[in-house]
Amino acid sequence: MPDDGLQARTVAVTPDKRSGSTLTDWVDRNLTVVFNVPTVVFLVALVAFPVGIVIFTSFGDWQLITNQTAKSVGFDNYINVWKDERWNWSIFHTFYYAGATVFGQLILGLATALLFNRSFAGKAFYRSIWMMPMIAMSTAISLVWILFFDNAFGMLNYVLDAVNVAPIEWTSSPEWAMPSLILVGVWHHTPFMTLILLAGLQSLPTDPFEAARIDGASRWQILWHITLPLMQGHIIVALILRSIFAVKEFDTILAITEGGPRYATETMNMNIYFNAFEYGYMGEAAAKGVIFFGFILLIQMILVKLRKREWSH
Amino acid sequence: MRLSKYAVAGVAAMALASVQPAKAEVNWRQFEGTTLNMIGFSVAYVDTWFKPMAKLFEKETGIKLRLETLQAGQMRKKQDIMLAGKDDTLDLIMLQMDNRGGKLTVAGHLEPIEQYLKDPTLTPADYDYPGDWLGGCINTASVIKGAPLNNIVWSAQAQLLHIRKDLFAKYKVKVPTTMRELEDAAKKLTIDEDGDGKPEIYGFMSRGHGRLTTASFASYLFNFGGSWVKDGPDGLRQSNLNSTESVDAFEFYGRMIRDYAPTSVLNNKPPQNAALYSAGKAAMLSALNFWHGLASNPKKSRIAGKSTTILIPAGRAGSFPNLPTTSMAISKYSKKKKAAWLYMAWMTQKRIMLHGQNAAVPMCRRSVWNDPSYKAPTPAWGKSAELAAEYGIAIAKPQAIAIGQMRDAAGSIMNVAIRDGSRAAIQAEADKQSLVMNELIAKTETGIDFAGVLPKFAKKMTAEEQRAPILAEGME
Repeated sequence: MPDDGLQARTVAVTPDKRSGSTLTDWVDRNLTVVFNVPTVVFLVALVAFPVGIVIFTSFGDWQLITNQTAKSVGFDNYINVWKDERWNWSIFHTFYYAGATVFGQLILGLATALLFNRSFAGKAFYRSIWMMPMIAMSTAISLVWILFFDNAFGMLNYVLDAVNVAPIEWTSSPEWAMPSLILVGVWHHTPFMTLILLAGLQSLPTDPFEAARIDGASRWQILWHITLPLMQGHIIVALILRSIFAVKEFDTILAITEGGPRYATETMNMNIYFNAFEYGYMGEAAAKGVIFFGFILLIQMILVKLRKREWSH
Repeated sequence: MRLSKYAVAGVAAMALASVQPAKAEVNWRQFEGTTLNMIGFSVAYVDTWFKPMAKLFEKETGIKLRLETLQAGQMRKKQDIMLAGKDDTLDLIMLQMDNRGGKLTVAGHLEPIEQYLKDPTLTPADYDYPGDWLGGCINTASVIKGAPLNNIVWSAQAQLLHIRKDLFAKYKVKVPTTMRELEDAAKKLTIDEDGDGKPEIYGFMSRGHGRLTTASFASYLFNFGGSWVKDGPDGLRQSNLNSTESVDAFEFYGRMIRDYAPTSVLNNKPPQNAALYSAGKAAMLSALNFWHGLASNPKKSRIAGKSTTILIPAGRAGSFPNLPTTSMAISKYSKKKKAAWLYMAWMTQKRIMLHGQNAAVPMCRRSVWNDPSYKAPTPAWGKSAELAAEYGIAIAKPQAIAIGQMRDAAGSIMNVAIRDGSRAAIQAEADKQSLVMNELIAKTETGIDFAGVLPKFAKKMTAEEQRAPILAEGME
């Protein structure tokens, strides 16, 4: 026996059958479209539209202040950038910086990950200390490193002086400026590498290690023939992430050297920044931006391909 | 009969005069309720003058000023982007005409102001522009030949030589009036008190960091007879940084930094140099005159009461004080241009500028320097700042459309001059960067006629005037 009261209430809250069911039916039929709309709108507004504007701008001669009525110049910007000596050097500087920092981070990151994978007293404390640079703001740490690098009153030259080593013009000499930035980059981002590799180490199966130890393999042999091959996937993921971030490094370089001295630390995105916002050559900067984007895409494709190959093995 | 005719005419004239409308006066409250947006530098004078005056301005006019202050580089970028985007929310900008004045004028982003200057309802009758403005300030107001006036230059800040009076007296060193004396003084005042081979006090400090060096180096460049650019044979300007005189100046300035300054100055920005000087680490500092405020502040300085300023010593070509003045201008795209002008006119009246002058912000109005209520922080500061404002030229940067790249080029030569120092290396870098500059000029300045900042446009300072600040302080 149905409850009359409940039935009456149910009828009262039933929406208009025709309009409600039509909308609901449409949503049900197009569920995949509806769920993807926010993502698509987001991507179009914040990615596709700006990228489209940059590509469009790259074919014109727009200058921020002095030539606002830009006209099309075809591929001139893309051709002329290769005649710009500073730009060509900036490509070298970008890969020099990225290669050296990521290599340094990988070696130190792997070493520390192996260390933190072992048991020792106070491990959690030391691990927390080690991870601290990762959470520090780039600009803040840059300001601290500027003080360390000071030629006359900085800590680094003070230490060198204490051990009777001649002072170094860290960020004011074209020879030392890039190594100085690499030092900061390695210090700042190695913890991230440690984090990924430590997660990888902790997820490895224990059987191969036990079998190797029973067979009498040395620690070096275990590292070289078991740990590293098993870690390859994690290493490649860490390399992909860190390489992309290192190629794009901007704030630390701007804060510490501003691309100098004598453009010795001017990377591609520094060059683009100066061209766009310091000199106002928007067309030229946009073309360089597209080329820069191409470089990042290329690196990513190579590393992803390496990862796929490792997976297929 | 004839007499009575004249009498009638005279009476008639008097009667006519009496019925003429009264002379128009500025109604300062005519734009009451308006809000103006301004973007300016975040420097000491904003706190000491702009902000207190903004409150008084609002009280007297009913106009609210929203002043956004940013570090110079960021300020320039933000202004450039807002002007390029024709943003009508920006009403007023602060700028240095010798820096971006050229390109903003050429681009037409600044509102011509002559119409407002002539309007008696917007400009007080006793405003007296340019009559009451110091010569050096007027030198810097116009950058492009034939362009209408589009700014009011107000700040007469100048690059001067800050010196430690006590050290000069203690070590009996002659206060320099020539470049040779300057080097001699720097040598004698580079003092290793504890004999460990490292000076506790450096003889000299100035900017040595990249493009920033242009502002401090300018007086040395021009005093040696060099210049950023010269007139070329094809009507276009061309770089003059590789001339013998300019390379001489690079060589001298580089040696002064290398031999008598802490190596930190290669990285330092002006505040760090001023902080080191105020900490008693140097005997001389080549810097803008407003840094005297830091050096004389007993809460922040170890040398309070021991420092004053003199003119940068004369070179073989004379003495050309570098006057990187600051102006106010109205955005072409502002919807409140008249209210914006009213603010500019109000701020640059004598009584308002006198507030700044008394807070050691050197002003461009001549009358505030002569006002009985004005007292300079030190006699030499007052005399050197006034002479710089009178004789100064806008030479802080190579005035150009591609100003950023030109400054980078000059900074690159300076890095070689400081770190290497050999004549051949400086000349080679100067030749290389001159080619870069010439290409930029050809690319960006065709058809544009810069007013130029060559010494031929400047008044010559006499040797007596060069010594006047030293005499005023009783240091000779």
